[in-house]
Amino acid sequence: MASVLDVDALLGDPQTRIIVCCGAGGVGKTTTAAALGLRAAESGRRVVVLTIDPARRLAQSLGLTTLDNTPRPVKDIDDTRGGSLDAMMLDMKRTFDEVVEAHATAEKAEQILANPFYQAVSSSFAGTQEYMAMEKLGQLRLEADRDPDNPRWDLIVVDTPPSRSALDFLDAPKRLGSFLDGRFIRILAAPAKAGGRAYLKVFSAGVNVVTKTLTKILGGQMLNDVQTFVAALDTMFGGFRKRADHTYALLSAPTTTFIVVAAPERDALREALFFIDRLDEEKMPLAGLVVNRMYRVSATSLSAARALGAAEELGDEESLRSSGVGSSGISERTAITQGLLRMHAVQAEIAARHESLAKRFIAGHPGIPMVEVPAASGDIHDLVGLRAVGDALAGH
Amino acid sequence: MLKSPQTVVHLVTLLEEMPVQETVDTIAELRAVGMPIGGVVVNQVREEILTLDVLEAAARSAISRKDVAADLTRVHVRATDALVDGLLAEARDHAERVTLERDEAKAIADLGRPTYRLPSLSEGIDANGVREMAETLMAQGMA
Repeated sequence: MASVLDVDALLGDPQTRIIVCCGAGGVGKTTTAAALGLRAAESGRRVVVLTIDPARRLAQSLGLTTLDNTPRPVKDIDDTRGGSLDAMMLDMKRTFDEVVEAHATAEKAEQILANPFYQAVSSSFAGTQEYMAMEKLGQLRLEADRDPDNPRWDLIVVDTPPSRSALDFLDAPKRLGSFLDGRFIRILAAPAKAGGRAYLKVFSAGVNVVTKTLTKILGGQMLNDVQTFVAALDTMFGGFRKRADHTYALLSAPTTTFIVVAAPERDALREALFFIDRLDEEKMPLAGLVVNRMYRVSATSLSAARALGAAEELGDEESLRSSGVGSSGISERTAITQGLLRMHAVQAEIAARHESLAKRFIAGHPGIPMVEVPAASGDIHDLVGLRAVGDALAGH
Repeated sequence: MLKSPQTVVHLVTLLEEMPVQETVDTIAELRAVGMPIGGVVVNQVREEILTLDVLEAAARSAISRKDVAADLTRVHVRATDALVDGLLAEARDHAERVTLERDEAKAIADLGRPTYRLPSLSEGIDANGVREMAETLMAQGMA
């Protein structure tokens, strides 16, 4: 028996405090996160949505025109049930700066922020986005709980970065820890002992800090900067570690739940499954799977094959009827009907493929609660569109 | 090496809002740092089935239900209201999608770079799919 992901039950449960939307890039994670946030807010919850990289017009519709790394209220939502919706877009570098400022003395923080290596790491380090999304989640949670009697937010919806590998996101808290207090750092901090060659080896073998190109450009100066940076960071390790551990604990708490978003394509579903397994391994609570952008046809009674057959027949019949008149074949009117039938055939075929993929997935993984969201015919970039996605998520 | 005449950066996009916006931004950034820019490959291009006239009529809901129903009946398709309305609704949605795609295609054309088009391959990508794509690109003069 396939089970259904009951989104309204999830959003209505006061025990649900954090919802993390994850999945591969381009499957509609951000839209799903925003739609969940809006639906929860309009049902009476106090919600903040943390987005990573929203499409420009979607961001505008959420009032995210300035990137200041702070949640801002979303206007024009239905607040008759007492809910509210704030939204923010992650500013990765700024979040990193805040962490540094929170953990180092003013003087040391200034040193670190001005360090060229720090600047490279904080804006382009592969994985920084994952770390900082988690860091921001931790910050939002602290802020939410500051006044337990009157919490600013009772639900945080997080959109995750479009990681190349789904693993990056879950690994972020742990990797942040090991990046900062691992062997790598110790070797860098004592370069005299390690020597140039060892440095290079460690650098390329492990931590993938910046691209090779950057190393080439910056060369020896960079090594120097790295050492200064590491020495400065040294004082902050404890704080970093604690935060990373705390965030990891937050992610595995029973009040946190994960929603995996996928598109109805073979590869995307395979990736979703990989993610689901990984969450299971880490004992992270999975709410279910959203299969997004399901193609649906309106004329459900007509199969693709029958539509194509009818289109052909229509042409044959018409040219038979008009033969001898010397016309080019079919009338404009019939051409329209033929076009409609051919268009339907293409769409029905896609819809059938999506449906069979979803069906096969359910058959293979009956324990995973799932909901399908139909593809919209346009891009979604206003509250009306998000509301419609929310309805679809709730199975309406 | 990245700026040598042997290097060229091609961009790949879809006819959707975000990928096109990112392509436009990327080209501006590449220009700013003086990287050699090649062409833009538009991937997953939908087959054009309806003519512009029909699309416009569909968008305005100006296609005659009666005519369509009569045509369907001629070829022994049971032309229920649900079926005819369904087909017309699909045509409206399709017209909306095509209109959006045309806008995005125009934004790509405005970049002034050679563009290449790859059709949507419904069966997903395997070795044969890659070969097919390579041939399509070569036929359009990309390499």
